[in-house]
Amino acid sequence: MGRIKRRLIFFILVFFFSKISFSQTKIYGKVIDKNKTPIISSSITIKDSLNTSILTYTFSDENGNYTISNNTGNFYISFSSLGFKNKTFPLNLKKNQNELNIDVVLDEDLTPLDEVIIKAERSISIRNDTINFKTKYFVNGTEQTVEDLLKKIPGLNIDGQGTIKVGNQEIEKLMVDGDDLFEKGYKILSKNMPAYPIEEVEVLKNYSNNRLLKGVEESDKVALNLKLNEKSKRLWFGNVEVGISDNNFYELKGNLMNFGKKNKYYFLTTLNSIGYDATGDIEQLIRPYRRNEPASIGDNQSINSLLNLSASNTSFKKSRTNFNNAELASLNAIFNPSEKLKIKTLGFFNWDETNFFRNSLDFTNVNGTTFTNTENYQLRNKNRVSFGKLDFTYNISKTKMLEAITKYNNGEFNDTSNLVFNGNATIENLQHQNILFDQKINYTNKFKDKKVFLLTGRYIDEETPQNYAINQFFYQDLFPNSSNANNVKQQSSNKMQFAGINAHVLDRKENDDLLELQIGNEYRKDRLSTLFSLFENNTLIDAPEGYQNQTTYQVNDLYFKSKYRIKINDFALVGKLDLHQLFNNLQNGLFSNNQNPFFINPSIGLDWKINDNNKVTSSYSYNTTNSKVLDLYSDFVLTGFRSFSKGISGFNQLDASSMVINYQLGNWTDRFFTNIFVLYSKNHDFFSTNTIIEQNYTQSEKILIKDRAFLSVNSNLDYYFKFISSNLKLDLGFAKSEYKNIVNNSNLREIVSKNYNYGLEFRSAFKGLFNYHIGTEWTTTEIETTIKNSFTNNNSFLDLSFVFNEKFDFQLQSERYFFGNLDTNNTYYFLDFDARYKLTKNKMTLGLTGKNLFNTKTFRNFSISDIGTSTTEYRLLPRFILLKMEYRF
Amino acid sequence: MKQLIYITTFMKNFLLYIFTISSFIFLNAQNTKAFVVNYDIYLNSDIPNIQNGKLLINSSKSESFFIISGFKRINDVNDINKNAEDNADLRIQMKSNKLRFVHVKPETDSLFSTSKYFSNNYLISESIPKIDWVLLDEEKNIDGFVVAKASATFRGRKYYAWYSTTYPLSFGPWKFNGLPGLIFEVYDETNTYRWIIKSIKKENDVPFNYNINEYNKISLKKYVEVKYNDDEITTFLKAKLPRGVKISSEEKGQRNDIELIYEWENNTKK
Repeated sequence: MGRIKRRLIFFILVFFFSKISFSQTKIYGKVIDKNKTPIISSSITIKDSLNTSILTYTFSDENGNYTISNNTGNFYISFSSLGFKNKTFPLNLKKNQNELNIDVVLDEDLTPLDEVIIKAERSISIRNDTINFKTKYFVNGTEQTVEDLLKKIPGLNIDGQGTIKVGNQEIEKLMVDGDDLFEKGYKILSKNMPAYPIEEVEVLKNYSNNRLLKGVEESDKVALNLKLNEKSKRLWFGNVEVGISDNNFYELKGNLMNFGKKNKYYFLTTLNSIGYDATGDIEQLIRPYRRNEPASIGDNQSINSLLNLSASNTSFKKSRTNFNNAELASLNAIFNPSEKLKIKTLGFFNWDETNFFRNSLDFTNVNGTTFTNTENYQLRNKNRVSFGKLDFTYNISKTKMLEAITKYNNGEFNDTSNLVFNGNATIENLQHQNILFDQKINYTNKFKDKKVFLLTGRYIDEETPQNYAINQFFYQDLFPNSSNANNVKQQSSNKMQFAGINAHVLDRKENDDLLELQIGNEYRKDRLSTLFSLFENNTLIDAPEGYQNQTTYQVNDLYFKSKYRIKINDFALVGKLDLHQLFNNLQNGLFSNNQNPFFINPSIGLDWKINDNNKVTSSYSYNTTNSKVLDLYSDFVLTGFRSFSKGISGFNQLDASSMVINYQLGNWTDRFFTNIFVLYSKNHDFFSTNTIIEQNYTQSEKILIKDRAFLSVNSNLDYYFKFISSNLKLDLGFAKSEYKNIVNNSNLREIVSKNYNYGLEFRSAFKGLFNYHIGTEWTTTEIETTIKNSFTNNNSFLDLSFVFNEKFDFQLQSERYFFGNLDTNNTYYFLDFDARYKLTKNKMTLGLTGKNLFNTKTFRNFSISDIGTSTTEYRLLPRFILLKMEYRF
Repeated sequence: MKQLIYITTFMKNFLLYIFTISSFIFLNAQNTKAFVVNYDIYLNSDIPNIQNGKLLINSSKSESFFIISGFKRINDVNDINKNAEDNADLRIQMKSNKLRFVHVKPETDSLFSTSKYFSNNYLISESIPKIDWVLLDEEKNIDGFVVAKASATFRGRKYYAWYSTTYPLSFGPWKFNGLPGLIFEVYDETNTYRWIIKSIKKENDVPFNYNINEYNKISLKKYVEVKYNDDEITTFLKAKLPRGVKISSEEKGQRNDIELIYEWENNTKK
């Protein structure tokens, strides 16, 4: 048989190969079918002597011709084309054989080709809603921090404050290997962590803080996850940045990190005197903002202080007026003792001593009362804050999870002001504390594929005791019987206890609509006690009646909330209905009252995408809110060195409706883009004030008034001019607010306040080393009561940027402020610069920063209100030039 | 005697040969049908999404047409009937899109592909790129088909392909061509792009047609020039940045397309 077969093959070879020449190894020929029609694109492969691996291959051309070359030896050659039977022959290529012609006729394959469905294994590297970026494809080595790196990732935007956005949306958190250390305070990480250990950046779209809610809750959140390379895992790394100036300004920043598979540690320390507020994002760590998110019960519960001695807001950068000496240290760790258990700890210590200087001239003209007050104010705030958080997550199973979060905050504050009030030297002292304990336990069960049940319990205990003392007695007119008093004190304590339980079901329907139902009970008890006393030296003279509060306010809110979201083509409709049954109890001194109101809060939202370029979002809601403890206390409280205020001493629920419309034309990435935003809200009832204004004091009492309206219209426009490579930005805004109050026994006064702002900006995008950004904005404020008062201010800026090369860049920022109502000293100029030179790539950078180069000493500001005008002068940090060095290890 | 055996064998084979030819004349309707291969295309470069790819090879195998359609979000994969797309942006973008395809015509050594770049629909022409596949000694099984591995670096990305010689076709998805068998799966080493086979079938051979006037005709070189070197778009986005955002070093727009570098560009960019 074998012999016959071999012969047969030999015969076939002879039969098919019309020409055989014995020289070399170029094989050529023609592939045709029975009808002598050339077969286009048939495959010719030469395999090894075992007929397994393909050594070389080619395809026939449109005439069926092919050529293929091979080494000498024993091979198999096979001819194949789809729809034809394969033909394979042994092939012996001898030395000296340089050409071989093989023409082949292929037989058609009779077996019909049925449809074949192939279920290929899908790669696990592609996951739902995850975009994975391998950083090495995006970096160019100039990136220093994570922030620099993220700027290079397409689709991510990082603004001047370090806010990271995916498209136009801020990220929820920045994780490292899936572990989150900072919540929304991620800037501490992104601004400090070096870029080089990061191998991959993952953008997680439709992100859910609770993994079991993924795909169920309505989430448009985005989070980032940084994956570290193997090399940097379990390695200590970090950086130090030191800056020293000619006149005793300094800055020191240090980061130390260790990321292992099981444990992660991050230590951070910052010391500075250049006005930089390192604690900017601490608030986010203490109270992460998770609005409307399941299991967020109690997040909106906190104490507001009655009294504050703090630097007032200025119309420009806080760092220019913030004379500080800040020391901050933070220790963070994540432990993963087992696959199911994750423990997160966060500790935080901050010491700061800030000084603030302000001189003001307040002119009051109301109802015939006219006077002018001068204040020379020096404020020193000292604070010490310790914060600890323990987050314990136990994954019971794939569909069940238990999470417990414990927080503790202890803040000690000592604020002292040196005040010269109308020539009287006065010292104010406020010592206060904040003590917070917060415990939350949450159980999540994804009981069906698209249905989740959450049960959350929370307990919060917070108190803010305050001791306030003024070494002067300005209130002779109020307390004529205590005329020999020469100083006053107020002791207050404000305590809050909150306990809540909430059951929440999220049900994502087959058609993608989402139904949410919640039932819960929240109990809050506030105890406010204030004790105001008049002293002569150290002797207590009087604790005047009407100035002492003993208020206990208890609110029990039993509620049912429902929410349904429908999507039909280009429309999305969200309907909400909240039912509240309240049980209020108010105890002011000896009097106790109960009230059990019931109310319904409905709201509706409609989003309409007309087409790619026209989008409308709108919503309407009607809201009833229960009044808070600071609205309800019965007696006067000292809220500043010359102000007393008092609550309404009774229950109230305030009704308001509001409407929002936003229209967007074009997209952000288009040359032309514009957006118009309109907000109208109407408070059917609101708290206003009945105020007595005297030169030495004001006394204001809350009163309930009907109807207050607020309208705000904002629009912006972007247009890119190609011929000057610059983008024009136009901003137009208008806000109008109408409300009423009583001053010095007037009738109900109607106050209309209007704000207009209009501005334009040009920013270039030249390819060379130079770029500019110039802008100006006018704001007009107008207040109308019985008299009309208005002024217009203008702010302008010009920033120049020079990028000489990869190692050296220089940025210059200048600002001009103009105050329309000041006759003299109404124009201010500021000039800052920033230069950076990279000494060793990724290791050492030298920098030079100059602030306030014109050495402007003070800054005057003008403002108006419904009772008068005021001119305020702030002392500014003097000119300094900081030599900076940054080293990475 | 030996000769006789040869002759009889010859006769036998010859008759068989004649016989088979005649039988095929009546039965070759099989080969008048176009060969159709469907693929899933995974694009992870920006917003992860899956698109459908349909590779049509005409009955004479003289040209291929790879049509790209659909834009379904990854989370809808398990639920194909569901048409709810959370991000209406994507859907609308699709509505306005022209037919997207890669048309390969070996006869004239030409390849036409479409691309939309900032509201311009381009029909880009180039000669069929030669991909230097290295056949690797590795096999695996995709749903019963034994496929062999090959790798190639093409325009800045390293690809791995799994092909089956059961289907001896040199055409492939997108611009891939020149493997000894049909590509069942091909992906780049970063997993940013991936094409995976879904089905193979035959359809009636309908000539490929598209309205050439709907597109701006452009050569590949010209297109690359427009997209990367005349970076008006990236420039104006830079001009839209708010105050305080410093651009500290002039960053070249990082390419993240399937093709990262072209033959005529010098290779130092990486």
